Amino acid sequence: MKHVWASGAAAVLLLSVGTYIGFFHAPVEQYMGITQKIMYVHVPTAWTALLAFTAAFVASVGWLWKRAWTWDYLLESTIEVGIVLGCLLSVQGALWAKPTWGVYWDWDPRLTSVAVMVLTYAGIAALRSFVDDPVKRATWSSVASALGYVNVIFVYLCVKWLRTLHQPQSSPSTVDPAMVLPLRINAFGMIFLAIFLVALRYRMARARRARELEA
Amino acid sequence: MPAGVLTGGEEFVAAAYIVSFVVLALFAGTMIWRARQEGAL
Amino acid sequence: MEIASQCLLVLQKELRHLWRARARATATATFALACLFLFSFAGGLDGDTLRDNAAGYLWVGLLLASTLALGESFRVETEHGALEALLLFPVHPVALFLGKALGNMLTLLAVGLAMVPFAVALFDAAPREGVPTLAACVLSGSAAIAAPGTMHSALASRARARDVLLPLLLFPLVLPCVVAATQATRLAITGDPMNQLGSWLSVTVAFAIVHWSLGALLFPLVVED
Repeated sequence: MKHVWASGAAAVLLLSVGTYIGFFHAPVEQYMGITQKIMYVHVPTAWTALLAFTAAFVASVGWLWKRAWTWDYLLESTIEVGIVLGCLLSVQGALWAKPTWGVYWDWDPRLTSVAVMVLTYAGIAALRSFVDDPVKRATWSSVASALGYVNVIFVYLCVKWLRTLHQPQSSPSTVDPAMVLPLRINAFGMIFLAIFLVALRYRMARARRARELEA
Repeated sequence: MPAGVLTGGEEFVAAAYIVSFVVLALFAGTMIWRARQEGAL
Repeated sequence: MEIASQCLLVLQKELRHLWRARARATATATFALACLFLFSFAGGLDGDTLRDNAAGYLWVGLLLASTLALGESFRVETEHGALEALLLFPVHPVALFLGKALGNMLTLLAVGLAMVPFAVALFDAAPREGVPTLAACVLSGSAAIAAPGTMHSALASRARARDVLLPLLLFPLVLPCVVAATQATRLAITGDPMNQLGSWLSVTVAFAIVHWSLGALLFPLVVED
């Protein structure tokens, strides 16, 4: 438990430092001006959200293969954290898109894939809440998670291809070395935060399952 | 600071950071509270 | 091969059930047509817009109708505990999945093809690339939806709130398939000068192959006790 609190504290520290450096010490970007600074919170959120969804996929495979409850606890916690991070990511993306692309949403393959991922896992969270048998709940949500994760690759490719028929895709320019430091600090900060959240949720899942299985 | 080609947009940057940190803080806070409620802490 | 013959038996059972419940199947097709009507009014009655969007209307209508059709295929099993009986028979779960998925594919194909003449009439959407091409688009899309649809229908039918769970789980999953099938259908209707239709169809086929394989692999885990 000490490690969990340490992770949370590290997260707060790193995110504060990273954001400060990003705002006051990193250079202003040439084309996007100050709106580029959203990157220091947006990119770390993206990496962490994708990490959470990948961890959910690993957990689902783990349950289907080993049938050890620890995988189900991990699945339950990473699904919830992934959904929140994914929604946050979409909102951040929209707030970055409005001043730079002129619209809040434009079916960018990455934006769309994340939205589909969030929808998929929200559906799986709903599935979990509607199944009473713990073993069935674990198995069915693992199956749905595995399918959903594989699906996102298709979504990304399809939307990317669809867009090339309509619009050229814009991507941010490669990152100036002076910007790498705050980006890295914030990335670690977000990951520590995710670890903190997943660890807490994992413990909750374990407590719930213990109550269910003894009842 | 030298201005970029795109000027303005400060309110979007502010909104993005404020929303992010508020949401994350709330999420962490409620997570701690729920964990306490369920005896997992 | 054992699984193949069992699969055919399951398919026969599915088709027999479909025939016996043809009133419901007809109602599902009518629902799909009602959707097409709704879309033409929602789309604004402007001929050119309707024509351009006809493919989208067709596929969204078919997808909505699929939630009715797919849910039905497992409702009959859960209602009388027939699923357990089937598995004890013994029917290999993979054969059960393949048979049911084939049955669902044929149902979707039937509904889709029934919608085509109405879509052509309502949206002035006579396919420039010919009716067989359009039929091929409907076939590959139906095949692609049927596999994940059968899988999630099995999941949802045995949980609570099954009516809302099936579309909630299925729609994000079949999104790439809808994108590809709609693009292929749109090109079939409005013409395909740059020969892109084949590529979109191959996306749908690839999607179908992946999901039929994954379905066969994972379905036994879903129906075991």
